[in-house]
Amino acid sequence: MSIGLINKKGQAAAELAILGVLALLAFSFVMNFGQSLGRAQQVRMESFRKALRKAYDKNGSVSYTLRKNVNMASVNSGFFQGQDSAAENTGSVTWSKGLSGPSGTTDEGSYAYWQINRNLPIEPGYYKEYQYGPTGSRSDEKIKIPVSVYKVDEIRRVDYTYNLEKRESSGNDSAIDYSKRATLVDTSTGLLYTRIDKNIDKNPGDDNVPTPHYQVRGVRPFGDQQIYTYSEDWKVPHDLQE
Amino acid sequence: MIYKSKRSQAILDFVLIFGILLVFLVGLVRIWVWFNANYAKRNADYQKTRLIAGKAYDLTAGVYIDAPLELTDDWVFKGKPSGTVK
Repeated sequence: MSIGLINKKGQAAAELAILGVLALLAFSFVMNFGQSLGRAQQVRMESFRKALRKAYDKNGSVSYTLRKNVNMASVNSGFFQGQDSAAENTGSVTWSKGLSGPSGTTDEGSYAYWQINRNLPIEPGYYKEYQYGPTGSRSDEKIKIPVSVYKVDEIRRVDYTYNLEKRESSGNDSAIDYSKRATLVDTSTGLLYTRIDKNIDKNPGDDNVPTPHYQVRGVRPFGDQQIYTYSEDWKVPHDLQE
Repeated sequence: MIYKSKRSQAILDFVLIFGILLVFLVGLVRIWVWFNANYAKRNADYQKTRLIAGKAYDLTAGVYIDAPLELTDDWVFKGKPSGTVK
């Protein structure tokens, strides 16, 4: 009999523990989903605007990739720590007046940029190749074509420190002094792997797109560091003061 | 008597836990309202910079800056938004 009673108490505690954790998990999932949606929308808009700006400046076609490493609010991590997450989008814009490319050039008109966080954009590289028009006519000279980034290897390290100090002072203005500090250093390093398509479409007018024949072109390193700090001091006077 | 007190404890537990869950749920819904409001605000900010985005004479033109509404205690706990979307 006594064993049965103990089991019932244990069952209630276990149910509470399991259901409570499940409920919190469900809430955190919904929160993360909302934050991811917002971040994805923001990066989508910003990458397109950056592409638009570059296309205007260069007078040509621009593909602009923006990657943002962010820390989302999370119930599962420490104070001010958050949960690391990344959002990435590529905006493509063609905006040229007259002949493509900057004024005075005849061999360019297509550009690619890759940017992480607030760093300056990287140009992964270019190669030169003849291009063919809709009627199959070859260009007079080789045209600069941007290489494409097909793989990103990133190592992301997040260093988090947290410190809460509580000091009790005596005297006329006796109080408890609190000092709360948190620092998050988000470091990213990595490599961009690039390639080119060697199978040139020599007759773009026939709607038959040739099967790409990729050739690995090389790697470009990148790195970035973001530092977030939280610092707050406050004082709570003692209740009993003379 | 012992069994009755145990039943009442179960009811108390139930009310307490579901009360807490309900409070969480209300907070969660308000935070989602904030997500939705920011979705709309980003779009409004984005459209405002649309025409000027390609003008050469202004180097800052077309720079889209993310300026979300602030998520305040009043919004989460009292349901008062920190701003409006125009």
